[in-house]
Amino acid sequence: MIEVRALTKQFGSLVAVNNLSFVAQPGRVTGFLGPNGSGKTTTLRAALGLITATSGVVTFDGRRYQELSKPAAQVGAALEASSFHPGRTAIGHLRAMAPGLGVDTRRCHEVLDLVGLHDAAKKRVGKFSLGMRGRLGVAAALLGNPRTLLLDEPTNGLDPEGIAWIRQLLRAMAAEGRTIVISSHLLSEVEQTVDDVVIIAQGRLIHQSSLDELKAMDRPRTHVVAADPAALARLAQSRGWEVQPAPDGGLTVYGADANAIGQAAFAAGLELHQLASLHAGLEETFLRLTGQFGLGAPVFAAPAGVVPPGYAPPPGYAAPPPGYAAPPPGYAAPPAYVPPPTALPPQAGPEGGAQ
Amino acid sequence: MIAALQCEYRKFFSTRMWWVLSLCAAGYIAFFTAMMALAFHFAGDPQNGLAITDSSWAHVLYSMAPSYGYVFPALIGAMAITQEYRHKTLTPTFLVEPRRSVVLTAKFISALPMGLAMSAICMASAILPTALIFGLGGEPTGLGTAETWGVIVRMLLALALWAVLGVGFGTLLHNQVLMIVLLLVLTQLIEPVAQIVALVVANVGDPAWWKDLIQDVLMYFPGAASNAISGTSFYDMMGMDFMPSALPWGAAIAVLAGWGVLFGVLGYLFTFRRDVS
Repeated sequence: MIEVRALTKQFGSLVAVNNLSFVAQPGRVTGFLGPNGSGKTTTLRAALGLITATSGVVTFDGRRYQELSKPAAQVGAALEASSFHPGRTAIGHLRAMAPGLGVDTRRCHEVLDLVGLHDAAKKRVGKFSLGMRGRLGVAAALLGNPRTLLLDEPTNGLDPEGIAWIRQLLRAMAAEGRTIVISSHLLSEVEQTVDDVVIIAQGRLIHQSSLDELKAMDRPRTHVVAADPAALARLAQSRGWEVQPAPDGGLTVYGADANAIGQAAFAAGLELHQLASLHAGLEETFLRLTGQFGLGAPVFAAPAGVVPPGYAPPPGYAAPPPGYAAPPPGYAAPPAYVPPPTALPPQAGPEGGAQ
Repeated sequence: MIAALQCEYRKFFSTRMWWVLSLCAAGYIAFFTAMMALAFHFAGDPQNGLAITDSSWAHVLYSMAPSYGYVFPALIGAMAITQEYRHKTLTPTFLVEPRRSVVLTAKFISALPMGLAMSAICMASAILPTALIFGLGGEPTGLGTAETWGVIVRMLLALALWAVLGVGFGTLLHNQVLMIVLLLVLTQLIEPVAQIVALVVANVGDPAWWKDLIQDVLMYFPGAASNAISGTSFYDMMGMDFMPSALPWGAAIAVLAGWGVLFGVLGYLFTFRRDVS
């Protein structure tokens, strides 16, 4: 079990991690999520004693990393993929770590086989692709057969086959009762791997729950333009749906899809001019939580209790451009517009693909 | 600590640095020693030239190794640190051993035998061409005497201590290029210039205490301490002996090692414990 308690890290005037607390449970894969620059890597490095926290503490089964004996054998970590001497071979890199973990050269070969680098064992890391470096990083993390795994953006640079491989590997390791934390700036990358999610933005905890609970927060939303908006709002409220005014003069109805609203309006004899589902996928829930509003959500008030008090979206997102706040006169949303079934790119670029 | 030492050795021998540096050191020292030995040999004319009658001439040639080769063991020591910064390998190093004082101590301890091995290569590269050229030319090499081997051992020690100094220097600077440049500037420029200044000042006028003061300070510089350990400096023999005062060689060992440890402690306090990102 990993416990992060009131962790704060300041670099000069910049607060990279701000009073962050969360727990990662054994037997589960915890996704540690947040946009680039939100403090994920800083948190992981502070947990591993590579950087000194300004305040707060991170413990692994109750002890700080520096207090563990043979810590790298108990907590396997793969941080960014550039921490290799380019002139050292893959096996050379692992052998240089092995004495400190109390493992032999045979084990070094074993983990190379495990990550699919068997044939590249004697190749210098300078000649490795990004994906191979990522695999070598995972091999190093697995070297001491650790009870806890911390992987920073493990899917970076991996091909789809590699991503599927790491998914299986992490699922299998969690099933053995290990504690696993993987960080990512894309929820979609880890959606099929994680059991729990910890979402941070600007160094603060935004959300922690199981993935299922996060999915439950994804409510259908529908954009409606009615001849009599007040009547429609009353109708929606009588059905228990939440209503928000939309910037084009229409309404956004939460908790009901287009079918349900169309049926209710027809039954009530209300005249509708537009009716369109606004798709909200898991990634959109994630972006909403981290303060990055997608195009599909012109105005959105987060449900009470989701956003901790005091949280403000990043400066760039606080004030939408004028075009969003007040559409030009005569503007109307395209009547038949239905966003693509999934708002997520099937495969994001290596870095900043979702930014 | 034993594990940390093992890690250091494996890091050292798992890159090409050790044999590239060894080849460079051997080639560089052997070439210049051979040139100098040939020059001595052909200048050694009993009528009007040098009279190479005792082994002190060979000693001068052996001292080419500590005089010009000290930078190689220094690099062995310094690169144990600077390579880790350059290639960001401090992350795995500190993950394996989070106690940074243990890591740094392991680097200091492991630098001694590795520096000694490099020093042996340096000495061999000075001895072999000398023995060959003087042996064929009939000049005394002194290799049959205990006195010469005593000198060689002292030179070996002086060289090996540069590896310790290198670790300290690398810890303090941890920029590889800056470290090499500063090391060369300090030993090849600042020290000789200061020695020349001391000489000029002493010859210009009365204030002999100036010369004494400067020489007393210079004695404690790494280059001067190194020369004091090896006993024979190439500069001495070439009549460029600006430094009549030198530390006794036991004290010089402490001074040279002391510089290394001082740099290391300062580096530990001010840079080595910093955040690694």
